[in-house]
Amino acid sequence: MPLNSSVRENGSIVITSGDRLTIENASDFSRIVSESLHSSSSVLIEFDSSVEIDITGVQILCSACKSAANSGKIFSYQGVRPKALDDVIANSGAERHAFCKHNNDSTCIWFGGSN
Amino acid sequence: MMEEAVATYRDEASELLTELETSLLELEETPDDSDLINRVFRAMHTIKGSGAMFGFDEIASFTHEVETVFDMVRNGRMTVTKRLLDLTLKSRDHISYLLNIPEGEEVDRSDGDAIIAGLRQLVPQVELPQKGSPDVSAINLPKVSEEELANESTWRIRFRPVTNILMCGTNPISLINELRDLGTAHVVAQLDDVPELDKLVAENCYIYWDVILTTTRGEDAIKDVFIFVEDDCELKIELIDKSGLIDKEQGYKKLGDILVERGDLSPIEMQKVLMLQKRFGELLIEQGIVSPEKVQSALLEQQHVKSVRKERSETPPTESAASIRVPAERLDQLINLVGEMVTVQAHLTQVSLAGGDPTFISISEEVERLTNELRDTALNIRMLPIGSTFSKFKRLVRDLSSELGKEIEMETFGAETELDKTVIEKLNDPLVHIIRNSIDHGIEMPAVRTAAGKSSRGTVYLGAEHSGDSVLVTIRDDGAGLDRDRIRAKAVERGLLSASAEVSDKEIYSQIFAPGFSTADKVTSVSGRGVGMDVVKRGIDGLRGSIEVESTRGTGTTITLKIPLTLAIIDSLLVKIGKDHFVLPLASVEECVELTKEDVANSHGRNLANVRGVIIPYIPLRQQFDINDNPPEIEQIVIANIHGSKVGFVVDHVVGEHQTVIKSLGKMYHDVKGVSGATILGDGTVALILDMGVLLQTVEQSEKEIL
Repeated sequence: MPLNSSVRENGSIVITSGDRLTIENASDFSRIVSESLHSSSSVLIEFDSSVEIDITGVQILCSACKSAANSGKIFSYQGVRPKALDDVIANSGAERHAFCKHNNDSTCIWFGGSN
Repeated sequence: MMEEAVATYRDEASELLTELETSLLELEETPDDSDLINRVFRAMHTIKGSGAMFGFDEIASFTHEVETVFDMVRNGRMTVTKRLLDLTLKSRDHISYLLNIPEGEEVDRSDGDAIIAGLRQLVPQVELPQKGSPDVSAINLPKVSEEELANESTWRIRFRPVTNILMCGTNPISLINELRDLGTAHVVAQLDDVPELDKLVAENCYIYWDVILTTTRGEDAIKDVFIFVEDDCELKIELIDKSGLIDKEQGYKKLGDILVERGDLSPIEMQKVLMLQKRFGELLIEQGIVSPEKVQSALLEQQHVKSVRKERSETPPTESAASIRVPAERLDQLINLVGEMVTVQAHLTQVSLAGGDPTFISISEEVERLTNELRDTALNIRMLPIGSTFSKFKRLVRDLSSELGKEIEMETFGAETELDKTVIEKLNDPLVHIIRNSIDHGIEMPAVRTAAGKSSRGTVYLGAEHSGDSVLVTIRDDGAGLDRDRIRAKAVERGLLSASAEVSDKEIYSQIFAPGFSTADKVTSVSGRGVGMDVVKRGIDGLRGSIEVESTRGTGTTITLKIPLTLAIIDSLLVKIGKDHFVLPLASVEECVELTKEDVANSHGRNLANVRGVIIPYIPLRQQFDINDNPPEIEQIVIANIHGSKVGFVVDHVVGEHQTVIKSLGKMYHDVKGVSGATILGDGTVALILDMGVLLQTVEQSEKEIL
């Protein structure tokens, strides 16, 4: 499925990643997430299993996470977490297990895993 | 510049492959040795890392697969098995092939693919090691060698790229990965500058990086990583730890000190927080003074350097090996120049003595002393331990014994014995042939050995030791030994010996070196064509060496090669025949005796001299070289030991000992027998260097033809 967003019955918005979250469509991805967070209290990303992700994708996830935390909204993912995301986080050194001050001092679901 | 770097990589990779082979063969003996496992891993890691840096992508990607498996072995998730060692040795060969493939030639990947498939079968659930920052409580650094430790430094790098770096087509993660290839790196991407969505320009880069890197490569190598972005980024490289220089405590700076040093915390703020007496990092985060990311990054640095220092303290201190890499051609050039200098110095001595001026003679003597020291030092530079070639032979024994279904191990001794590098190179082929023969014909099949009351496992010993100005290389096996009668019968059949001749065991055994000589019933892929030992003889003769064979039926055979230490400059005896000078290698010369006209008359043309009751055959060199003027009343016989027999060489005069700088003869003289080279004397004249063994052979051959 291409990069897109859809509203669920419960009002949450699901954004499908399509096959790439890279610099080529970073602007679109950022815009869709921003608009979704403005219009819903819960935004979920559904990743394509073979999605390609680069550093711009990582930054948008972090940025969206900060925005959501500051406005008390939920920004998370549903379905299978793609290997490409873990790889780019590990390769860039963004992985961390510390609490995030932007995320109400919780462990980051994006960069810290579940532990 | 790049070509030089590539050539250096090839050299270093070749050395690493030799080290890898040695380690793997040793690992076969002691599969649990963690030091060996680490050595294998590090060799692979370096070949891979440097390969990627210098454009050997094929090597980098192939080696990565093997390295991954050895990482699992290193971490105790796999054990060392024979199959794993077989595949890794094959991997070593494949890397060597990839390293030496000519530019433009298509790469044959079939072997590599088969090896990788085999390795994957061994580890069906291969997990790729994850890059990135691990939990700070469990930082395990790869083991490094003592030499590497001596040059190891730890650097703190902060890399803040320009925001439009991504738009310029540069991927900062590639740069971070290049840093990782330089050594052991812990990377923290700092995300605190990433703004909220409404302020985010999606294509900009807001992340900056803190990297703690321990490497032996130096600051320039780090700067080289950023060479294309250095004008458009904020780059701070600081040395934070170096072996032997900075404080040698195992621990490292406190967290607060690191943050102050980095400029992330002021000293006043640190003091304020310290007053609260809580865990410092927690306090900083609680107070909102430093972000958790920065604290984590600093903690990572603390743990990293602690680990490096701990490892260093556990390694026994050694002298730092100060060495530089010099191309072999430059050493050859140095030896040539030293040779010229020795020649000029001889001329100087000659002129000064003729002039009789005491001051001039004194200066000339001083120059002679210095020249001799320079010559010895220059020759020493080319000396290499012979052990550098031993691993190759261990591998040969391993592979061939497996192919032939025999159980054979190789033991070595005297690996530290040094020989001229050219001599070592030229010894390779003779040693390969001798060892192949030992394995194929010497060592028996396990069942035969057991039936003979021997251990089923045979042993080939390979060793080296100094003996005066030569090195003795010994190859011994505990196999069946040579069949004296069979060799003799074959030699008689081929006309090499007469049926009634009374000959010693040594002479009979020396027949195995005759061209085409073989007693093997069948020709195998290993040996039996009667070609190999002839190659040995020619190779050793070319090195001005000698071969001795001893054998006891049922117990084994010992072949000893006596090789001169160097081929560049030799001690020799300068002699004169008519107006010409000749040089005889002093190593073989035993004594000089007079030969009067009466002695010649008494031998009735048989060229035999009676030296203190012992009859010694001699060769009149005058006749050999067609020198027709009249000989002096009293000639000299230079008696030499050739392959265990005493033979005389008749000359007009013995001039004395001489330092001979060997010059090879031109192509036109390649077929001249009995002359192995030439040298230039102090007065500029040329003297031929005689090959006494070949001269003897030529004379023997011509006498046989007359008979």
